[in-house]
Amino acid sequence: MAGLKTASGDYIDASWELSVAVEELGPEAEPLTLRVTGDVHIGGVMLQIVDKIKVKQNWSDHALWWEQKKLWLLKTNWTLDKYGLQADARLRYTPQHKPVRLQLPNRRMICVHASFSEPVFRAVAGICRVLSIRHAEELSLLRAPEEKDKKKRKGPVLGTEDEFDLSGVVLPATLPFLTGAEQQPFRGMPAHFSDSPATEACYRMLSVSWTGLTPEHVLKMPRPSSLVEKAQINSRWLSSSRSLMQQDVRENEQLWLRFKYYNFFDLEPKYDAVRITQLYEQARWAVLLEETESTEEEMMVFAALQYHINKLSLSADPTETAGEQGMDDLDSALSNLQVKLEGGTSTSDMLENLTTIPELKDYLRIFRPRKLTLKGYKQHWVVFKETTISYYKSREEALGEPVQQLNLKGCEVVPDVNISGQKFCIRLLVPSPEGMSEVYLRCEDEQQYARWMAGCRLAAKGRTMADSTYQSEVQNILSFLQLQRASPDAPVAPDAEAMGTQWLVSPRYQKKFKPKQLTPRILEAHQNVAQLSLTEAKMRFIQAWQSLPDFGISYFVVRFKGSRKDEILGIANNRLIRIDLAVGDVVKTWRYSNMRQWNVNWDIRQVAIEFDEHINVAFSSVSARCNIVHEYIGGYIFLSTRSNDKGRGLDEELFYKLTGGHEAL
Amino acid sequence: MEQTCDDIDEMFSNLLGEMDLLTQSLGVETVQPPSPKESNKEYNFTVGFKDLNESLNALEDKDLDALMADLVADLSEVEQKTIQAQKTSSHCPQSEVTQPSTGVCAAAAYDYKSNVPVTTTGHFEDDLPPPPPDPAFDLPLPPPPPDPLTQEELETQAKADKIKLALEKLKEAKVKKLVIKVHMNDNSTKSLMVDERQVARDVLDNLFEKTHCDCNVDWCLYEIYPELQIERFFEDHENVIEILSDWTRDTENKVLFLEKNEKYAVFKNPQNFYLANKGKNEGKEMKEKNKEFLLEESFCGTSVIVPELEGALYLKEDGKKSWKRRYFLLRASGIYYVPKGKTKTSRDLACFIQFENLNIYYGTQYKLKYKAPTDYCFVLKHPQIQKESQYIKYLCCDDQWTLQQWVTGIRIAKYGKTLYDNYKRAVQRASLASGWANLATVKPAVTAGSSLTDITGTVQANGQILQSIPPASLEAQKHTEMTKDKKSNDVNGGHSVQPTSQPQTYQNKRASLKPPPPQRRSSAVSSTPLQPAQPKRGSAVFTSDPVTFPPPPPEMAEDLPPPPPDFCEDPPDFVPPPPPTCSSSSEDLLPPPPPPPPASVSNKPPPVTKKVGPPPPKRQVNTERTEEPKSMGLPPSGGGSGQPDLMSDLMKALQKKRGNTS
Repeated sequence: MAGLKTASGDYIDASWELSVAVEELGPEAEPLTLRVTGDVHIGGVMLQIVDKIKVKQNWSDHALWWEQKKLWLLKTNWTLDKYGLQADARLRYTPQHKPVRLQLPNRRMICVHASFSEPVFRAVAGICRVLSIRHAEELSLLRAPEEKDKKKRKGPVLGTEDEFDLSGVVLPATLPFLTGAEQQPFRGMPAHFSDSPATEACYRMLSVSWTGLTPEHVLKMPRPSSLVEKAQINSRWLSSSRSLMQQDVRENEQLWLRFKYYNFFDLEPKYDAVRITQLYEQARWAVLLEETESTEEEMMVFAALQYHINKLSLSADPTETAGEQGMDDLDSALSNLQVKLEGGTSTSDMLENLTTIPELKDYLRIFRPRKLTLKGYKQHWVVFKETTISYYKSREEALGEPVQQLNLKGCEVVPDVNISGQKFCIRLLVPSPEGMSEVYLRCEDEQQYARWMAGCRLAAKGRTMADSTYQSEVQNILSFLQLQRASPDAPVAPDAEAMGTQWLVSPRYQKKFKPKQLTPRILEAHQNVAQLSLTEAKMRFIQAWQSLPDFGISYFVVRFKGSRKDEILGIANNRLIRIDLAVGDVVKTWRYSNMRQWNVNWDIRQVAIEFDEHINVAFSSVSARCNIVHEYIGGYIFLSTRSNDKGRGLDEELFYKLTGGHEAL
Repeated sequence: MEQTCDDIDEMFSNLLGEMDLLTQSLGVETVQPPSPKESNKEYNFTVGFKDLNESLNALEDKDLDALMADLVADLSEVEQKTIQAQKTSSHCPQSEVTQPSTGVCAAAAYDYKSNVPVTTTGHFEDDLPPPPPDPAFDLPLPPPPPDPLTQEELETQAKADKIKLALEKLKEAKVKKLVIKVHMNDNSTKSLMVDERQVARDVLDNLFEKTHCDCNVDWCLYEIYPELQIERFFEDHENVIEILSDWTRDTENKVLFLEKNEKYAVFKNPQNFYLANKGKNEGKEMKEKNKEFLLEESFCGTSVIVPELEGALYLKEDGKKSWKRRYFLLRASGIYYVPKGKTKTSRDLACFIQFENLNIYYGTQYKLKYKAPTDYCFVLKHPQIQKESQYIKYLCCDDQWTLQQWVTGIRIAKYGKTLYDNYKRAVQRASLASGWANLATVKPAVTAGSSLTDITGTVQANGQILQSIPPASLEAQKHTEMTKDKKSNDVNGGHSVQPTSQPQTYQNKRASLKPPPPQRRSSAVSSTPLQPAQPKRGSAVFTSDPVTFPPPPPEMAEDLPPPPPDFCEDPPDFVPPPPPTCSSSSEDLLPPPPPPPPASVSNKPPPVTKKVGPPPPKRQVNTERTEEPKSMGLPPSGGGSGQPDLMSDLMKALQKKRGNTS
């Protein structure tokens, strides 16, 4: 035991001092110093640390982080020598899981614990497991935009104030990792959400879209105005094969969680309440902010769907499971029928009752525009029976021949309403062998208008007013009229109905149309979606979004080899697109299916791709780091390898191989 | 009129003679059953022809031939149904109680039906009383007898609404029929009966059977408007009667049966449409596997991908004679154009047209007709428009290939995945064709649809018919059956007419296994022509009947020995046997052998289970073609639309109720 001692009284041997910072001791506390030798195992070091701290708590999540090398010392059986650790190393003894503040696709904030030691790919999988989003491989994390962007967003940023905290949630440990297996729901939601009212509220936020949106929200959001700006967001993606800690993400830092790869696998309303909602939200924002451009007609459909979803969401119960509604209808019809049958007193009466189809009879003013006539509206006695409208000169003549009969099946019904002018017209374009004949029906008031309009709509689809949807159609029309009535200057009533329709469309169309022009158009589009259930409507929205030509293209500013100017590279789920930066025209498209191989020269940061028929393409990325581009392409190729076999997990190794570049090796 | 009737009469005897020949050629000695024949005739005159007269005048002889074949098929089924009716009625005393009322009701319903104004289109419409409607009317009725007047007051308006809904659905099942004349390649024509639920695919299948063509996927029904000089092929999922009912009465429009490569070109070479650059790559080759990937990607995702398509087309301005060149783009939501001085970014595009209520046609020889720049034109119009009108949009492409791209692209945008499903079905059908043909030569009964089998069917009334009849005509038969039922046996018939009540009666049968012998016997006899030949067959034969019934309530199946293997063997050997004894013995009361079998038959409701057996051959065909059930009371015919469900649910409800009351 004899040996030389240092001034501090330690023995001089192969041992040296290692300093480790422990956050739990407080920010001001001196780092711990341990006396170690090179052949001590990491596990041993950690034991010593815990001994020295003398604080009783669960240290199992803690691990050593080597700051200079940005490296987690996770292999507890490795020695310090093996890690190449010397006395100058600054170590931190810190938890592997830390809270982060996530902005979800629906622009709401949530606080969750994320793994800071595993690759982001796994960290995202963990987060998604907490959020109950299947197929986490389609999502990833981005850094929040820089400060200057934030300034723009001051004001009522979407309820960021009420942040939801899911950091305390404990997941059942038995869940298989990355298999995409479904959790057993409890009270209509994943079991871990049902712990407390707070988490239940959180589940509601996740699975029901937010209804409190105002036009200002949309206006305040930064909108990309050019391809170059659209390329900006893609520079912020975190690398999937490195950990959050390695990418300098701090505890409680704000990150965005977004669907990164536009290749949505196996969307299933039964399991995917949260996923579909979040996807819908991302789609909705992409449309509203014109990240994905749409035409006027398409925008009206999106607006109608949003309106519809919003309306249903107000009364939605997230624990309600989707589906089975169709049968429900029939079932109850049958059970009712049964009751009827059992109590068949006045069967014949009833029959008559049931088989008669409601009719509408009223004095309406009718106008048939014709060339060279200046005649205006003329009062007629109008009878609406089944799908046919007949009109007579007067009520007394209703037994005789009508002036005209119009079968509305297949016709076009357009509202022509001006509330302030008390004008409630229905414009009918009725097809006939000779062409379309145009007829205007003018109603006296809202009620009458709603009844006739609803009848016309159903008739156009070949249904009669006996149809069970008739009443709801009438209600729909009335509530839309209500919307129109609320002028934008009027005090905003709390319920969403009164908010007008401006927020349903992108700012461009907010400017282009006055509310009273906009509402009828949305109403028109709404008639085609009014019968959808909440989930169906979201799915329809997603589908409509997917069929936009710009959908699913992630932009990067690149410089092609041999070219002197910047160009845009679009990366989609099946192809690469070379786009002229100035004009926005597609110059060339290459499909992954023709791709032979691709390489990245990390020194000159150039991606080189070889396609069939010896086509070679090489470019370097200007707007984003080279590995982001590389990961995007590799990620899509990885996703295309997914199989329908649900039991099989994902081949994580393959993902890193395809996306990680040299770092993974 | 008289004339026609006579003709028909004559044809009938011819037919029957032919049947004789045929049955004889099968090596079976057949005695023509006189009574069925008569009743058949009667039926025809009273029901069918009354309505048909007018249009029949217009038909040529060979059309009539074809038509007759269809009708004959119907007739045979009528017999079956009658038998069924008798049997069921005789088997269940309880239902007998209800019979009077139901019978009357059915008759009323029937009358109503036949009086329904017929909207005749194109050719003519056959207003056979469709089976489903009857149930609609009878439905509320059956129950009252058992348990009348209870808690009527408790019912709310809401409930009434629901019932209305149910009834409306039932009503929709009224079956309209139309005989259409299809022009063949060789300038000949064929007439065939189309019922209002048949889609183009069904009609094509019928035509395949009638023409013995190669059944490849390119065959299509092709609609031609000589007046507008436009034409197009029907998509396989389109309802034929619906399309034809848009034609005017005096129309010159025609339906052709021909091959069009364009119909499914996109699925054979998707690369030409999805990967082509500016129309240059036509004919580029691609590996099959890659094609599959491409199709999968384009059609099987969450939303269908519409081929990217844009370019300058000529547009004929509304009502003007000039053609103006504009830059058009195709999107899933419609066709757009770039307004003057704007760019082709999404926000600047102006909508030219959207695809609801719109069909796309080829315009032919428009250079001549409208002074179009080229003859490669396409036309968009509302299906109902039949004359020239400002609401028809005319567009003209530079070349044939561009035209094809646009037409295909628009179809994809309009129909989406349906198109791909249609294609897959067509391919399936085509690949079946060869095997089908083989089968046909071996055992025609199974292959179905040929007039031969139809005829034999008539003769034997029972057994194999169920297999020999193509679902379509099976449907038709059902019709006739019902009517005949009513004629020959009003009370019972009336009862049996309601498919709904049938399972119920079956149940009863089980419950009270020994119903009045005489009645049953007669029915049993006629229904089991095979017995003498092979007593064991009895059950097999019997199975045929159940086939015409709605799916048995689950419980039944339980007490029945399910003999699927049995069935498998049956068809082959029991095809020939029927003729011998069948009809001859049927009406005169006692050929000694029969009695025992019937008894066994009645003892074994098993037939019901067996029923499980028979459908397969037929069902195969069915699933291929039908989207809608043939009729409400029918066997679970392939496609599952609301109706069968509804019916079986109603059944359940009824049974449940019965359980309660008893």
